[in-house]
Amino acid sequence: MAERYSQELMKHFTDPQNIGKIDNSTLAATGFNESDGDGVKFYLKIEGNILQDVKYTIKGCPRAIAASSLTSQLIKGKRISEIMELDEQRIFEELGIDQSFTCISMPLEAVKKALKEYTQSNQKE
Amino acid sequence: MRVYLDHAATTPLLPEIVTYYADVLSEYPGNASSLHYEGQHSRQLYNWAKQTIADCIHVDYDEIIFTSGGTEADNMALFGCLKAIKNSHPERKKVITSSIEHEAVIESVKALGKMGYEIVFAPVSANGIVEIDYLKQQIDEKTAICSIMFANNEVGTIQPIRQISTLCQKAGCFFHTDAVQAMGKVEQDVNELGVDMLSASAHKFYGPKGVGFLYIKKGTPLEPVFYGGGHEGGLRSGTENVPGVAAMAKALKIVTGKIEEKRMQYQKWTDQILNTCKQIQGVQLNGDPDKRTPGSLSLSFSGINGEALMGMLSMDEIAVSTASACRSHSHSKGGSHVLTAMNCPLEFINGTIRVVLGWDNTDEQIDYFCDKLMEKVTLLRRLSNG
Repeated sequence: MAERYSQELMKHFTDPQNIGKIDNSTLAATGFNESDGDGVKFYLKIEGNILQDVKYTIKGCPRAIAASSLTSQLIKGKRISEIMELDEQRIFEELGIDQSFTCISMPLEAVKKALKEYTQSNQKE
Repeated sequence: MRVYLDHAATTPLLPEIVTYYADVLSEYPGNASSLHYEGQHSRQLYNWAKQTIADCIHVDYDEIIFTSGGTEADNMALFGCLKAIKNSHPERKKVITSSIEHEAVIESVKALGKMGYEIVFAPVSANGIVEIDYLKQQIDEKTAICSIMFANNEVGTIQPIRQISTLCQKAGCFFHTDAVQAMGKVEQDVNELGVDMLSASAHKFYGPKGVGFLYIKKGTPLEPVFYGGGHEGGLRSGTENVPGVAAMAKALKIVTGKIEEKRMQYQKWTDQILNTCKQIQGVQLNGDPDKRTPGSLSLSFSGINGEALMGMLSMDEIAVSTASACRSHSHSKGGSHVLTAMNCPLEFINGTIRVVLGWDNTDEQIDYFCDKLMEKVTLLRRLSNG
């Protein structure tokens, strides 16, 4: 384990942060890997333009769990515009994983996609 | 406490084999093909090893060829036999195997396909047993060789070898079985099985890595697949690995003598693990519940990822393996071809771990594993349910 996974990845995998659901969330963001049935669902609580709270449920490999945990930490309390500027590359670097694993980028991509739709929908209104 | 439950991947050397292997390494430095004292001293041990292995599987001394392991033995059987009958039986161009073989056979058969042979991958039932009716249709006068594994490396299912060998005998084709996962776990009376060739690897039965053997029934045509000094009757060139084969023979003799004792011990432990799984719920045992190698369990858990479960168990010093690599990786080979062939749902394939017991396990270790299994599955399901 120690050789395949970085210390940072192991930290998030063995003690994932912000696990759970938010009953009155503003929106949900779902990432799904069709090839193996793994997936993550984020519950996002937005007030104004700020992501006040985030929780998620996940079925996935150690990398996906760690990436979801790290993503939740990186986005919590941030402005939507700041989250949209986050680069998936940062998740790869912090977890010490090469970019061939799509399960690492899946959580942040799912959040950004949902936030983009949420922002566009709000602008129309 | 470290708990090793991955004995289908490899087995640790038995303590007595560690001592014996080290002694042979230092006491038998001679090349077994040399005519001086050192050489002949090594030759004697080499001959003893071959006779011991022949006795363990109830065959003759000159029906054993030592190899570097199971992969070489499989390649030698397939390529060597086909090469030998190419001119005498030009009409036999069909090679049959199963869809759940080890890569050593699957990749060899695919290579034969590229060389112009007609290749057939026989399907298996949901229990992982090769479809006999399909084989009956396929094994015919055009078949050159059929290769069906004795026991599967992922789910432990034992194949109806005697039945298949009868089909091959009737059709006049050769029958090879990869017995790597069965050797030392299941009694091997190779004459009774009726196979023409059988592969085995020492490190699967508590012997050293890098050594194995191919049984080849007298009269079965075989050509070498590589060339050199003409060792092993000209069939497998290369300086004899005297310490390796001696340690392999010693290990096989020991494990063969305790097959029944271990079977009973493993039955008790597998019952305990399966009872734990019943309490966990949402767990599926893959493979045939009865026709399996003792101590082999392929377990699929709903709602969790097998690699995550393996990782969690590893953090608590428990070694198991998964049936599926992460498919999100661009270089991943994807999920288990064995479970896929058994029509196991993707959800379950992704949540599968393989637990294979061994001689070094104890009651205390199995108790610990059962506790941790329940704890980790509960934890991972909590992540997916919130």
